[in-house]
Amino acid sequence: MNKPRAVLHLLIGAALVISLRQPFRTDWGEVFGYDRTPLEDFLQACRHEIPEDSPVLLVGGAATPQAATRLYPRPVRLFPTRGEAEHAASSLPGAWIVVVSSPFSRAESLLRGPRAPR
Amino acid sequence: MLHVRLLLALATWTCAGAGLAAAFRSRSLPAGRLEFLALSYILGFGAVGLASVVVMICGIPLGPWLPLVSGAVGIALFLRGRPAWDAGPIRIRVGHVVACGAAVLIFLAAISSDHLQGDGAEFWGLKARSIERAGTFRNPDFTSEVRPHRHSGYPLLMPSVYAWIHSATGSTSERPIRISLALFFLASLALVSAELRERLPASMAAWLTALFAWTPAFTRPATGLVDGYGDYALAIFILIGLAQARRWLEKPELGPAILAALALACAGQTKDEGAAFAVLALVLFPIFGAAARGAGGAWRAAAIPATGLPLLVLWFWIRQSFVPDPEALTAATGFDALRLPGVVYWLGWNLAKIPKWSLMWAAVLGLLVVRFPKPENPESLLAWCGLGLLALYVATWTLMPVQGARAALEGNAVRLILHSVPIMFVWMGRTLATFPRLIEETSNSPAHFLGARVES
Repeated sequence: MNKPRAVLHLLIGAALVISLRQPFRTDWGEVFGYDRTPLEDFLQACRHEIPEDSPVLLVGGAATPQAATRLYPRPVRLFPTRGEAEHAASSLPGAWIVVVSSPFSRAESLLRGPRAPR
Repeated sequence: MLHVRLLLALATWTCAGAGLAAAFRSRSLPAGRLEFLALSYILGFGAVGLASVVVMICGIPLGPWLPLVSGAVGIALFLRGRPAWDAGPIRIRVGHVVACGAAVLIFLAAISSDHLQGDGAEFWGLKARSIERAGTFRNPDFTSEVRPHRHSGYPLLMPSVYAWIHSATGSTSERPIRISLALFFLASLALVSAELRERLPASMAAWLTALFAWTPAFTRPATGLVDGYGDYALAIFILIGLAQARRWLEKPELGPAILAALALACAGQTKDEGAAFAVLALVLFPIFGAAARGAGGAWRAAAIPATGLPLLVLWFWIRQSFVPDPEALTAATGFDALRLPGVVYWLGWNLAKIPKWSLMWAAVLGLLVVRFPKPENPESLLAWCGLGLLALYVATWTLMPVQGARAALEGNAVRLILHSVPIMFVWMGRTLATFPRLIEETSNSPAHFLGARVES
């Protein structure tokens, strides 16, 4: 192997070693464990519980559009506080209020419904 | 059963892609079987997505008829224009095995979850389920605020393919989508390998493929290569478009020009950046066409990116009726040239960080100096378009307030790498072939891998 080519191979090798190290510096546990968070379990339970045509009012710190997609095709609206959700529920017959405080806290996630108009 | 149905769906679109590849791939190159399979998979992925978008725009609901028709047309095209297969043996080298290691990692990430994540779930996955449920994007999820729907007007090629998978598997699980994206990554490695092998010795091409496969931006969990994002697919569609356009510049065959037009049309319907790239290509392609074949060549070269433009215009018009996108409405505050130095500095700094793969950019910079990409050389098309893509980002960020631009740049640095690395890497690898002492064969390495031949 001539000298320039040997140097190029050396550079490719060095770059490859640097690249190969990167995946080991990241948290793969986060990737492989994502589906087993209490929030995911809880939303799955909600999917079984809530009929597909019922409106859902999602409340709390983990009430994100991403969490809302887990409940598709139920029409979901997001609220920052339970009070606002309960106020909105009064004009939505059959609405369910789902409180999701944190992706990692099962105890604070709870399900209420269906709510009849007051 | 779910996986059997997934395999059938993937086989159907691979048939569609095989038909397109057989009909329009350059006749002057023998087809390597693995390269052909990879090209078929990716072309099929893009073609069924594009066909779905066209069908929906025409007001026809999607249904099982589309996979059946696509597969049947693909098989007919393939049987009619079966390519001349490369007679050389398929030799797997250590570099290829190392590259496949990255694909295994991506595959493990794909099967580890039942859901798309982040933006992939929030709007791409939502769009897919909505299209699958209603058979079209013309439904309240897009036009009313029945549920949170960020970026309602984003292009629909990727969600249409995901909807195809939901429909074929009969399941709302998103794991099959993740698996299809992991296979997309593997197929893209075969394409990059074939592009490199066409110019470089087998061993070097294999090791460069490994280096490409382990690009940190691809193997980071947060990148979401299998989480439903369209960024990597966009880059590969652009890469195929540019590679086929380069072939057309080298030899005026109609087939590669059609494939290039198809791939760029797919890019335009994958992400808004693809639409911006089509406009950029409309400027750059004629320059290369004129350099290769004079004024007539310029017009014909312009026709390649222009093919997908009517669809883009139609889509931009249709999406005016969708739920307004507040993020898009507030992003632009007008062009300010004073923002330019800051944006260029932050772009360079982000590209220079090791996790963002500074070594490639250093090599690209060096090659740009010693082998300036001249328009007379069709190989330069990739470099100009890759740099043009970066310039597009710079131009976009100069429209934003400084703090916003800086935050957007940092937030989008990985995305920017996903978009530009495949293009610039292939240019860099192929440009190494212009240094004779680097590529002279010193062993009895086979002259073929994936069907590409060394041209020296």
